[in-house]
Amino acid sequence: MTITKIKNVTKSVENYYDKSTEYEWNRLVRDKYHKLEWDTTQIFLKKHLPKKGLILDAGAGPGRYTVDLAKKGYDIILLDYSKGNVELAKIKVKEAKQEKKVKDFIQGTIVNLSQFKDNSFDAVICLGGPLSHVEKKR
Amino acid sequence: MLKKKDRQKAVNELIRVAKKNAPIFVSVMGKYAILLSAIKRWPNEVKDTVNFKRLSIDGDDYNWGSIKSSEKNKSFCHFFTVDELEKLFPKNKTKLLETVGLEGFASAQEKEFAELKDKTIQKNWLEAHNLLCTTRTAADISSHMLIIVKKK
Repeated sequence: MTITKIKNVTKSVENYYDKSTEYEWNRLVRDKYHKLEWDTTQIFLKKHLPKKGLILDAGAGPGRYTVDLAKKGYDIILLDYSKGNVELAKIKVKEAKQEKKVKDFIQGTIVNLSQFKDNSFDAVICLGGPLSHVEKKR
Repeated sequence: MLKKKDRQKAVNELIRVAKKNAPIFVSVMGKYAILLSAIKRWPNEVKDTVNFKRLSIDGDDYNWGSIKSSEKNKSFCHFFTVDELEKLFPKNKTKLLETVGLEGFASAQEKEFAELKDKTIQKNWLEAHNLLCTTRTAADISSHMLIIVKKK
């Protein structure tokens, strides 16, 4: 597994998440309230995802959805702007023995996905709020 | 700085890289959920006149993260309404499938829901949640709202 680093990652969000990678990994299973976000999302992923294919997990955090979807048989490319999150995702994917299903780990921003061609993915997920943290590069 | 045009750029990119008919799932944090709990949970945030006005009107919070972590580690966050989220997805490029309130009506009762022990209350609540989570009100007041579109 390799980690591809994209240059124009913004700093304040990256720093914030670099310091809270474990918190992020545990966030969706922390208690019944946080699990409600996870469980409800799962209902709609199951309803609308194709049965197989390549998924872009954009703003994946430490990869909780990536690991889960890989276990369900999907191929995944993981992208997050926090180096800490990408590093932890790599560990979590390895622990789950899903290295073959996760095709790449990319540190990058969802504002610029130019490393991917048009019409590349069978589904795209951007879950938990990455779009709430899109920042103009300073 | 938080800029709407950058959020639009991000959504355009998510759409661009998806294949025709591919589903796109985007979940974000909701503005009204913050307002529902603000006085109870974050009175100091409400005291901050400039930031709270910006948060309540524009959805922009430049003190985000300062509650759970040190000031040094604080970041920023944009909180959405359903209208605003839906408008980011151009109708000529995507078809709206569903908008979902992920925590729905539990959003104003985070602590109570997290600590629920009574199995019957939990079961009845979840049944109601699953029936109501796709209503616009449930999505709009939810801590996290999910939009699912299909690329045309």
